[in-house]
Amino acid sequence: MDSGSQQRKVPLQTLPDAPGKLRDTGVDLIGPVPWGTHLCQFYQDRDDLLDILVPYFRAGLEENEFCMWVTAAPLTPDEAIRAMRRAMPDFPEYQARGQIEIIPHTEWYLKDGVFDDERVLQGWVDKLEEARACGFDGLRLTGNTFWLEDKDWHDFIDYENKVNNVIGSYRMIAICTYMLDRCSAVQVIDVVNTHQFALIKRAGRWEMIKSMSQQAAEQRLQTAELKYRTMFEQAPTGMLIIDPVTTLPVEFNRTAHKQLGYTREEFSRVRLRDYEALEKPEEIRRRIDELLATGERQVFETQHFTRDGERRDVLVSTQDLDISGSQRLYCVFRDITDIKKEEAELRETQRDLNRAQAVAQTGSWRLEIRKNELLWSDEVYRIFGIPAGTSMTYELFLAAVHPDDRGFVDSSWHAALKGEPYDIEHRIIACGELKWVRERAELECDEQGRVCSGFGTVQDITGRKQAEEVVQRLNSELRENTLRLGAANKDLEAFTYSVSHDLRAPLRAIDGFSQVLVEDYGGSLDAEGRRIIGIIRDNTCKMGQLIDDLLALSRVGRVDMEPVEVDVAGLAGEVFQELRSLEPERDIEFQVEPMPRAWADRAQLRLVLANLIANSIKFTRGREPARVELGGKTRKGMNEYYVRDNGAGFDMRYADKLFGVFQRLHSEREFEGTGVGLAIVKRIVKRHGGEVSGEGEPGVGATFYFTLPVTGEEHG
Amino acid sequence: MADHEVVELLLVEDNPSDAELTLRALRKHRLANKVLVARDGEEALEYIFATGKFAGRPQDKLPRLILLDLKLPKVDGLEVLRRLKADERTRIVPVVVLTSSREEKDIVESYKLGVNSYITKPVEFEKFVKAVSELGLYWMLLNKTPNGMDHREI
Repeated sequence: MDSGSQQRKVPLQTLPDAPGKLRDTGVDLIGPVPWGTHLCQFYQDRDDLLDILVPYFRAGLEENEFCMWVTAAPLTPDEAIRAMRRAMPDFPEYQARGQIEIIPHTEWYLKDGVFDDERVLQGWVDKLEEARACGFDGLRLTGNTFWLEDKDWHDFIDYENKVNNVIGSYRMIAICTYMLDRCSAVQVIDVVNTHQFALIKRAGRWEMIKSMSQQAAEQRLQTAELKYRTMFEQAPTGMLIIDPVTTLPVEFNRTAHKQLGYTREEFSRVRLRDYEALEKPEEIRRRIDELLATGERQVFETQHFTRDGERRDVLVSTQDLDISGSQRLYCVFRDITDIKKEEAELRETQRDLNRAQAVAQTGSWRLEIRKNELLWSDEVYRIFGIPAGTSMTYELFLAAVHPDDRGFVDSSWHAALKGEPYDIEHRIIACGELKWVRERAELECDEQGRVCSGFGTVQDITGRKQAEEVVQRLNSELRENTLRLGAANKDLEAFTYSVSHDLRAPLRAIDGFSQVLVEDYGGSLDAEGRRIIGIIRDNTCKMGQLIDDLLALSRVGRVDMEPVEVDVAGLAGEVFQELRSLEPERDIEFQVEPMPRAWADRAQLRLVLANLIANSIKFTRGREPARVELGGKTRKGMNEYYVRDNGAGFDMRYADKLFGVFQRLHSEREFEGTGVGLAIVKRIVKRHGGEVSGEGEPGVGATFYFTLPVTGEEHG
Repeated sequence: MADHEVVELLLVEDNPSDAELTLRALRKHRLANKVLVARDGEEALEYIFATGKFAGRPQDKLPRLILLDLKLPKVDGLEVLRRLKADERTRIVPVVVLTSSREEKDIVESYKLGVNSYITKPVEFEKFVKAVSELGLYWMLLNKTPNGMDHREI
């Protein structure tokens, strides 16, 4: 070893030179250890030494480590070499390669006869450098302390402490061997405390003692291990360490297997492609390669299949990790199925809200007063014809309001700010189009009671306003028409009045002067002359009757109806008595059957009965006895009445002419009449919402039916 | 008729045919000798109140009956009736409306104004004569009027 004239200081606080995997010690009792392990062995004889050191160095050679065996009594380098040869058939090859150096302690510890701990330590470091330069993984060494004098003990123990530091920082493994018999109890304790492990043979078997510090370190490690393992296990997201080659989960927490429905045992055999639902195996492979290459964390959303085939949404965070020299993928699987469902529901709700606003043509807005920020829902933008998302302020809103309404809107808003309710209708100009809107708002105050924001709605009521305008227009038209109708009616009334008055006067004159003619000049008239005058007078009389009938007919339509409950039977009796008194000599049987009371205008109903009963009386002339019968019943929600007689009857073939104006089914010679009576009956009954009809048989008789509503609601 | 002779019956009728026939009926039954015919409402009022062409007529003498048609030129029948019944002096003169109109409102209005009787003119002459004679008989002969009015036997 070249020590050099200068003593190089050993850098003691260097970082581990890439930890890597554990090293095989060759000793089962110890097991694999990481770089930086410092052991000691208590031996009693040469065999003890070989027991441990031979397999130790064999493992080191096989693991491509540079080996350095510093011997001391009772073992010589030759004995060591021989022992190695016996243990390893291919030992000469390693020797040839220069991978192992076996030297006596004199050539190492006591160069120049003096123990210089700094020099020794530096020597180890140099040796490591050399070994690494030659391509070896690290340095495996052993040192014997046989040569140690008692007086040097404490120095040596200091040295061992320093060795701890050095070894711990480098790719080195060291076993220091101590002769047991030469160590006092105190010294044994010193040794044990300065090494991580101590090997000692008891009752023929090797045992391992851990130093206090080692135990303490192991305890701390255990505690930390427990802490981190607990955190790992209990984490609410799935955490996995995945082998990038097999994609099997090397390590995983409870959430990882449970959230996919597997048992721990099952999940350890599940590969990525077995549960990745969206990416194909090639895509998975590509992603893994990228992770390993870039070393950058990836965060992405995907879907996983549970054991039962259910799809779950997952947020994946993954990164490559070097764990004890092995490349791994550290993955966090966060099940976001529920969150995504909530998001979807929220979006759905938002969509429904928007749709509801669109359907109702009502949008919502929020005004942040201090920031003068006006937030509109989509529907409000649509109503105002402004592109959705445009930044709005109160002033911009006001600009869209119809100029004539701006003052009103502004003052209403300011009143609202003072606490007045805000519910106004006004016009806006949207893309040049005039619209009506209804706005309502609620104001919110902060803790100091100052108004800080407003929340309101805007409803497009253009349709309603237009409908209102139409209604108003229709109403005024209706009013006009009603007035016109009233005026027309008045004209008609006046006309009728004139007619009745003015038409009769000349008729009276015709009749009167015809009579004068007869009275004063009857003497000069022969029978024929007098007959002719008779005809003149008959006709004037008939014309008078016609006029009266026409007037009666027209009055039916003009006069207001006042429906009341009428005792039809009683009214019929009255009418019959009046009519019979005009022909007192006649024998007429009058039968009134029970009938329901009617809901009708009394005067008009009287007219109906008068016409029908008068007809019956007229057409039963010649019958002995003449029979007139009246009755009625309620049927199908109406009251149906009849007037029956045993008179001349009529031919049913002409039944549809019965109720026509001036229509007669009998000649003037048989029965007088103008043919208006039934027309009047029909008009009155129809005005009440009823119907008329007639049945007849020539020579047998006739029955006339009319219906009236039962109560006032059916009045047409 | 002499303007200043006492008029027993004032007939207010614009239709000459009707007037003639009425007079004939009255004469036939000898109900009145002195009948004055006023051709319109204005003339009727002028006579009653002794104004216009009748100014200077002795006002203390009033007809025993007024037959009044409703449809009259210038001043119509209802207005004449109103004025007649509004004045204390003329209120007591019986007025019979003799008219073609059967209109309910005319009947009602006339009674409201205080008409004594309302008769509609029938078209048939005989009936007309009968109506006139009946009412003439009643008002002129049977009915008692308050003191101060001349009863004249015909």
